[in-house]
Amino acid sequence: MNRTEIFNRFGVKLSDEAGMTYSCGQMIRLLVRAKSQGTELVIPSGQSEETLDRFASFLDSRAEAFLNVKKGLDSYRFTAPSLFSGDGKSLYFFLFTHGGAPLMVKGIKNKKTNITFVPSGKKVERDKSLGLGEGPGAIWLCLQEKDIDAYCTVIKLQSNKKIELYNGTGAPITQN
Amino acid sequence: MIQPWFNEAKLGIFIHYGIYANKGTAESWYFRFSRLTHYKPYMRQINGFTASKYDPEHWAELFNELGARYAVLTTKHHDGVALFDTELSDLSVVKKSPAGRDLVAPYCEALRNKGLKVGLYFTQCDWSHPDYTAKTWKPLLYWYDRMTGEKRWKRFKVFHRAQLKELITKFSPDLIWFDGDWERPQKEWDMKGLKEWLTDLTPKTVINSRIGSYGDYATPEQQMPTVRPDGPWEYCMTINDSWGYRPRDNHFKSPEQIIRIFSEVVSMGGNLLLDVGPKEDGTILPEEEEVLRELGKFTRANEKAIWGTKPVNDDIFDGGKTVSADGKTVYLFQYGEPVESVPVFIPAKEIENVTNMNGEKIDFTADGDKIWVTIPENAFIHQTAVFVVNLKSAYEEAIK
Repeated sequence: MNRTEIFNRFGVKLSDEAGMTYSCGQMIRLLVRAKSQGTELVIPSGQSEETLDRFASFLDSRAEAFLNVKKGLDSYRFTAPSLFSGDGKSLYFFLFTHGGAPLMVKGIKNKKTNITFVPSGKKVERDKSLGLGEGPGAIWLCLQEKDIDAYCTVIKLQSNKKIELYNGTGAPITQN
Repeated sequence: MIQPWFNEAKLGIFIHYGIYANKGTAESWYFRFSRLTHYKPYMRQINGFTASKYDPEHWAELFNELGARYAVLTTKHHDGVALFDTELSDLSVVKKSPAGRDLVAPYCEALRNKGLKVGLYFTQCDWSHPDYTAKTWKPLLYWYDRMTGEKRWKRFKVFHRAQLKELITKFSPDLIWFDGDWERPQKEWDMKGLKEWLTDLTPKTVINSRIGSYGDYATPEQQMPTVRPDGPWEYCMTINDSWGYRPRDNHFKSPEQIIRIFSEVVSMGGNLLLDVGPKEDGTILPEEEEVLRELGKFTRANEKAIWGTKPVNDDIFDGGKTVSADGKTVYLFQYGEPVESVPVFIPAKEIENVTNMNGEKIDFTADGDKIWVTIPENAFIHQTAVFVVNLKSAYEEAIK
């Protein structure tokens, strides 16, 4: 597939109007935001050919995280950008940070989840913080520098069922 | 009306200190589900509760240094053992343990000397009191008691009120942290009456939520809210997985994690009540003290982003966010060192400048509805960096 076909497939438009020159990582970040708002990404003219190629090849190799996706978790559950798959059984996290940062995902109710890097499929190391009653607590993703992608590290949290979110204020259970 | 200090406090320290620290069993809950076999061995721990290195001044100094505005000490947990000299019962560390003295008064004094507000935890239930029956260890008796044991229940309530009055009179707490209200319907406790009685007796004391539905603020526990609670709230959380001292629990959260959680609580407009479980001698574990000290480095460097701020609900930044009371200064919490610049969705024309917490300017690139900021590496403390966007007008105007 050539670059134009890839961009068409992923909802990326190249504009004739000039604007800021982006890095590949910035384009990815803006595309994730556009996807979560259900819009296309319009890139101003004047971008370097090399960056556009890199962007296209990044998308092509991680297609599942960008195709048929919708708004992800709100910032009270996860502070980096994320997108849900169309069937709601997978969540994609887009990380623009180095390794070693504590990444907290709050309120995923599904008991069985598989967390892997995209596209390698390698398992992501994880830890858990306690919840209480209905509240499932938090999942911590533990990333090393060797796991980090130069532009954007994509992680997939997958369940065999639709992902269910805890929707509460964390109030203690009462036994009355 | 809740006292304004509470909403401004942002950080408090919870202290689960009691006889359970002797052998390191779960606080009170150790015997709840197997009272016949576990109650006596549990209570024997009182013989090994020495408070031999009890130094509340050190606690107060530590808490003050990390920016906590209040602390909450378990003056009586569900096991019924008081840490103060109660005249209403013999069951206290004063009368029954080698500690042999009141531990609450020196705690109150030490906190007040450092300008911290005094919180006292006092559970409504009492699993040792002869007139109190809990449903788990004697379910039949519990139900029978609720149907017919009115005399005993009335007697218990008289004791409960009197002991509470004793606590309030002796120590004038700024905050009472109730617990254990869940064992009986609030009507039987007469929580409405209790709250009215408290308001009359000690009108300036903040009362937490575990008094039926009559508390001043909500107390999410362990599970952090994923929806912003209405009204004032305080998230209570353990540093490892235990409230009291448990020598085998080494699942301590790292300073990175604690700073991260605290920043999120502040960004959601709540307080964090972070728990420590001292050993029976009164010392705080080195692992916990270390976490507190590291949190202190973060709070001291970022004071202005934490205190005197309000939360920001809009999707302007992928991280934590607060805004100053006058709305002109936005504080953004970046979690993790970014591989390149980060976007802030505020148009450059609305921005005066971008700085670090010391007021030194940081470069940014204008890009239509947003800017891209390059955060200096030295702004990070345990993986969180706070930077400042100074606006030309108040926030609500700027993001329109």
